[in-house]
Amino acid sequence: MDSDKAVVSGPLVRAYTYVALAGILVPLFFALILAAKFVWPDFLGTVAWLQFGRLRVFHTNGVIFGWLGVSFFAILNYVIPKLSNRPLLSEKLAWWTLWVLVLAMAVGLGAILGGDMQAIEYAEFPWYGDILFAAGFVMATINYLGTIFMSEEKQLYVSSWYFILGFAFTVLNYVMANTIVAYVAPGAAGAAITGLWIHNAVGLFVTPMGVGIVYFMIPIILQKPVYSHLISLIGFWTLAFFYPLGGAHHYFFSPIPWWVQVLAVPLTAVLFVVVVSVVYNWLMTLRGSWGEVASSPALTFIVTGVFAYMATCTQGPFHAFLSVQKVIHFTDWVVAHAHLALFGAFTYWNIGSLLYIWPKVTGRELVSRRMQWWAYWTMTLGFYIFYFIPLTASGLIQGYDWISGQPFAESVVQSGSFWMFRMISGILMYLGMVLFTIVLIKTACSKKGASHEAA
Amino acid sequence: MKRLERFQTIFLIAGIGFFLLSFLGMGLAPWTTLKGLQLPEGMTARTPEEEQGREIFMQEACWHCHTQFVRPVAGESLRYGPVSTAEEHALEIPQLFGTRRVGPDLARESGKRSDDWQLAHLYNPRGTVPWSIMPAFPWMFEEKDGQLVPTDKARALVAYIQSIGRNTADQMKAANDDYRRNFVAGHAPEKSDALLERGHYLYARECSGCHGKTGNADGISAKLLVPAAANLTKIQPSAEYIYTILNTGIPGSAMPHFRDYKPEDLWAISFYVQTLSPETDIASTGSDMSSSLLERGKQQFAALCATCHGPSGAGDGPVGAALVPSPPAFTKLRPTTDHILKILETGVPGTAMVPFAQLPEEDRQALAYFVRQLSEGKVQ
Repeated sequence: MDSDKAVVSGPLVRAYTYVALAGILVPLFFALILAAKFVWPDFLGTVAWLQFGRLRVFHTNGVIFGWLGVSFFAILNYVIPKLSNRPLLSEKLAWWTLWVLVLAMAVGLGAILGGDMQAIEYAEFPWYGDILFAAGFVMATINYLGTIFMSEEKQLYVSSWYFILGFAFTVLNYVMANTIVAYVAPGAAGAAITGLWIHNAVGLFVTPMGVGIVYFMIPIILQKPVYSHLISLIGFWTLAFFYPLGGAHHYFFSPIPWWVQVLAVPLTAVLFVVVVSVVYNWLMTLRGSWGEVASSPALTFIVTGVFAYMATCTQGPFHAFLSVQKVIHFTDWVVAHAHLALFGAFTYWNIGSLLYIWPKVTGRELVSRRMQWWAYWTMTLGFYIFYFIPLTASGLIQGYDWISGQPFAESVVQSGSFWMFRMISGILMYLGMVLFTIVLIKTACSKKGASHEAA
Repeated sequence: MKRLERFQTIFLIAGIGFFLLSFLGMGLAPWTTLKGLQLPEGMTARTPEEEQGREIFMQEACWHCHTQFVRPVAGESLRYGPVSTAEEHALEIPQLFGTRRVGPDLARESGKRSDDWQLAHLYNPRGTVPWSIMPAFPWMFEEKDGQLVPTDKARALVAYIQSIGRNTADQMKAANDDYRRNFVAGHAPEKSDALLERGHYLYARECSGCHGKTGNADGISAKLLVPAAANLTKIQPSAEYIYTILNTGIPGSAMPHFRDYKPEDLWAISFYVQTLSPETDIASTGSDMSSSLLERGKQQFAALCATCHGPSGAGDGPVGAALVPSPPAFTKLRPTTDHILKILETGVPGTAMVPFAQLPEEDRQALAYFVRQLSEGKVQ
């Protein structure tokens, strides 16, 4: 993987990173307003574009595409050339991709605030936003897969397996959601296909990108090989084969044909194999290096994310059991679970990865290790103490309130104090994200120090 | 041979192939089995207005907090109504099942509440449901000549909401009517301070939106409800009367039923509501009393009121029985004189109660005096 050739374009990684930072800071700010609206529903309540529903959709789409999507690409702009030992297929195309994605975000998210959206979860961009985003995504796919396919390296590292799988799958998945679900498939059939889209947007886009990146980061930061090639193979192929089949579990007990729902139970439960094998592989790679983890904010972010990944992917198969589903479905429990994945795991991985890459693409040492630790602890305490635990609890309360036949009001009234906690968590998580942003920007603006490699 | 060692094409084929496998196996296959579904009886296609309402429902992301399917588990059919079927959703593109339930499910919403309740709820949810955290939609309403008027958007949205699950609306209404007809209040618990306190809490949480914090019906929703919410400071009801209404609701008005609350809670609210009207005895009518006045009131009542309110004032007159909302039973409440006089002058818009302003002043006084006698000995 190492080479003396300068294959990475520093300006490209930096530009993608700045866009990704906007992609987290704006939707996260709106999330603060959302959290406040749960407690004071009339807060900013007379402004149409600040209506709860619109902000909620802005938040989810902004974070998934604007933050996770673009920050994955920022990191891939570093990782894929390194793995392929050659520059990107076309740097120019990468720049154009960025501009198209920025335009897609501006148009799509703007339309959502303006009250024009599709009713498909995580695909709420109206058709004109869809076309722009799809164009940007296809351009990225051509560029990254082209780079991998043009590589002269002898072997294809496990990270690249995931990237190829994820891009090929997601182009098709995105088109399916925005055509077939949006315009063709009715009712229960539409729900079955929506389930596939929701499930695979996370499982076959976010997961392979993130897992591929961690498979790169842990060995390269520790300078040692991955523990087991065989386990890598098991984790990868179980994910690739089984993950796409479990989508109906988002609509258990719905009018979707029962055989589909029944099949979705074991097809989801088997995903436990994926998380166990992948995390085992990483932890065995980490064995003996915990001192290095504890002294590096970048690694600490990534490893904390690994534990969150383990937790959230253990929850997943457990949710597929119908007796569990009966209680937790529709509740805050699922909201906590989703944030454990997208914030606790993937956002942490991307932050850790960017902290590792940033000195290499700016030619400067990261400023203020102390601020990095502050970012880590405000986010971590904020998220686990004030978000994950309270919402998991309120989810159970809501679920059992409903089952017990109490008036619906109880499930809302009793959740109030937990929603208050969430507001506090939002402030802490936001603070952590601002500190992280300051670290990157201050580093980029600092005096040129020791250069790791030509950018 | 070095290209072969990378096997990169295999991963590309895996990405495309596994997508196709999942789409065919878990998307297209169930779709095929659902082809040719017939809409159930009573589930007609949406009108253009309802269709516009559905657009708004999607664009305001209502479906992110209100699901639209009743599951066969967790007692949901008791709370919402019949379990959802695939047939009912055969026209839904895209489907709006939803995945989170911050507010109640809407799959059986058709006919559950009156249009004015829905409009007032949309204008500000706290106006009808004080504990609600739903966003308000004031921009779907406009002021016209000092009146708050829903725009076409608000009307379309309500039309859509009233269409969701309309195939089961009749069946649910019939069940509700049966319940109402057969309802027996049963024994009230002992009145206590703790019960009154609980009643106060629940009144503030459930009732104060329409009936106002003090009971005088000046809540946020007052501008939109027709008929208006009852002014609870003027009616001196019996606890049993309130308890019955809390269980049955008042069809034809915005008053819903609250029978998912425990009987003890509903008695608590009933006792608390009684404290909202000042106690007045029959004597304090504010006019001269005489047996001739009483006699005159009785004659007027028999001539003008009894067909609806019943000969004894129990709300069971031959015409009254068919009215929606049904007329109040004066045997179970004792409105204040000024309240009766006001209603005789203005009527109750939104109900069959017309104004009697043309009646001579003295007749109206006599009626008020008489009506207050009807509850004698029954109000406590």
